[in-house]
Amino acid sequence: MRFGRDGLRPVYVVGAGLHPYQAPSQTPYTKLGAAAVRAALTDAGVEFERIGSVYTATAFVGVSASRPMLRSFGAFGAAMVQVENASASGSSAFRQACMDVAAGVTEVSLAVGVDKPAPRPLAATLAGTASLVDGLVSPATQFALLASQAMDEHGLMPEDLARVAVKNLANAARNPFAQRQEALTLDEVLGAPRIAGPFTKWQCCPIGEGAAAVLVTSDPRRLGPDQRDRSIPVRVSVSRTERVYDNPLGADAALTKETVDEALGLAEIDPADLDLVELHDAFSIEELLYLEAIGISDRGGAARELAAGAFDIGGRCAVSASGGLIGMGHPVGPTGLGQVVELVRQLRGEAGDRQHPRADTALAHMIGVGSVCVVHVLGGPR
Amino acid sequence: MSDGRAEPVGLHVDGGDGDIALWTARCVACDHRWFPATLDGCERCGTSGAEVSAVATAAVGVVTAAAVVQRHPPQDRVDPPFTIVDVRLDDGLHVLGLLATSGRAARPGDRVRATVADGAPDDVRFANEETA
Repeated sequence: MRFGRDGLRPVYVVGAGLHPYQAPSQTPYTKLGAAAVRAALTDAGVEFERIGSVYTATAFVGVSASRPMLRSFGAFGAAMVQVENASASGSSAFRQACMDVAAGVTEVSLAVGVDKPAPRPLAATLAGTASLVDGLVSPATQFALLASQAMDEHGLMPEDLARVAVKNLANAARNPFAQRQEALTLDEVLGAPRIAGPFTKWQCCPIGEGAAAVLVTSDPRRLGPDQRDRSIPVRVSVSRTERVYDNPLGADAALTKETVDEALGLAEIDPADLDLVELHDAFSIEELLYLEAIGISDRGGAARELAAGAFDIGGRCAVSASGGLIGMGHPVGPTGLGQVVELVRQLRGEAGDRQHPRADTALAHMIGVGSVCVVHVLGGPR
Repeated sequence: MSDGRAEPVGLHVDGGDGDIALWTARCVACDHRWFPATLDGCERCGTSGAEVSAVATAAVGVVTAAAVVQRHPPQDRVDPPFTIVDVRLDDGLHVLGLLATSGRAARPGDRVRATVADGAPDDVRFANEETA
């Protein structure tokens, strides 16, 4: 759907806030989430009582997470719903909030993601069907198989994959909200213990805890005189699920292509128009394959362009300037919203050390196991 | 290979001559195949009923991807390192399998076939054809 057209109101991000992503701690989820919400409210200069609906993205916290987390903001009767969509939970909560204001259901909506790691079974394991590899294929192994196939078909080398981690860890080292704060050399990434296939530890995202919050509205001017300059338009939202593909290992890349093609078509822009992209880089191979699926690189060309610096901050298109899932971390519920926070700061010119010089149009992309894909296009004309 | 409407018990069946066959499902309406053989409806077109049936499919094919797993949560079947392979069966269907530890390593392009160990008839693993 495209906002501001087709009978939908415009949608603008007016507030964005984070709690740092970090290794699991004793801090309750309520404090993580509340810190991000308070930061978003302060950023927007908006009182909590103006919020008409709240979507809380969480995969691990448990049943009915919103109200305990938001108790300290007062009780004003806003609608509250939890959203679980695997890794795309935060992106899906953001989409719900956007749809609320686009439809005129509410003036201001809040999407907040919060999580702490906890053992939760994938529903698919409860489906009563067996396989030849029950309990043996983790996400790292699934994507290691994809890497094996891509390395065989495209002649990729382990160094090509490791450079994704080098770039994203360097970006994360400049992001105070990132879980990983250390930039590493190519040799250091390659020399770490292997997890599965070509992936060393640094090519797999850390699953930690954290929170991210975003406030959206359809008319920023009604919230205050300064809002127009700092509000960032959300142009398009697309959410799809996978179909059946001849090569099942390539499903996420195929789904990415279908979803991004639809999003860019609705936005009436080309891949070359994107200044920044935040990608679902849970494992290094994903970034290369998704860049090609999106059309930012030609097929088989992403590794070469990455090595040449095309996807660095300051390059042709800054990819995962936040540090991505590999560097900033992947607390699951907040991750998709954390992407939006990063892009909003970039598009406002408020990204500090990580500021990309040409920040006009950006895309956020998340995959959720299953598979789902959620894409948003932000920025452009206001 | 045999056809059947009843949902099969187990994942595989003796294919004869020491070979293993996997119970897969087939949709007559769209010619889609899938594994394991759940017969509630076609995973691609949604057709249900008599047009969806179980088919025993030879578990022989080509490796399209292989991953050596060095770290993995504890489970009872195998200790790391172990190898997971994606196999494109000769009828075109892809399945994931565990590579037998007794054979040589697998690489994309290798031909493999499913085997079961003596005394463990439910433990299906793939092995390179030359060592199976």
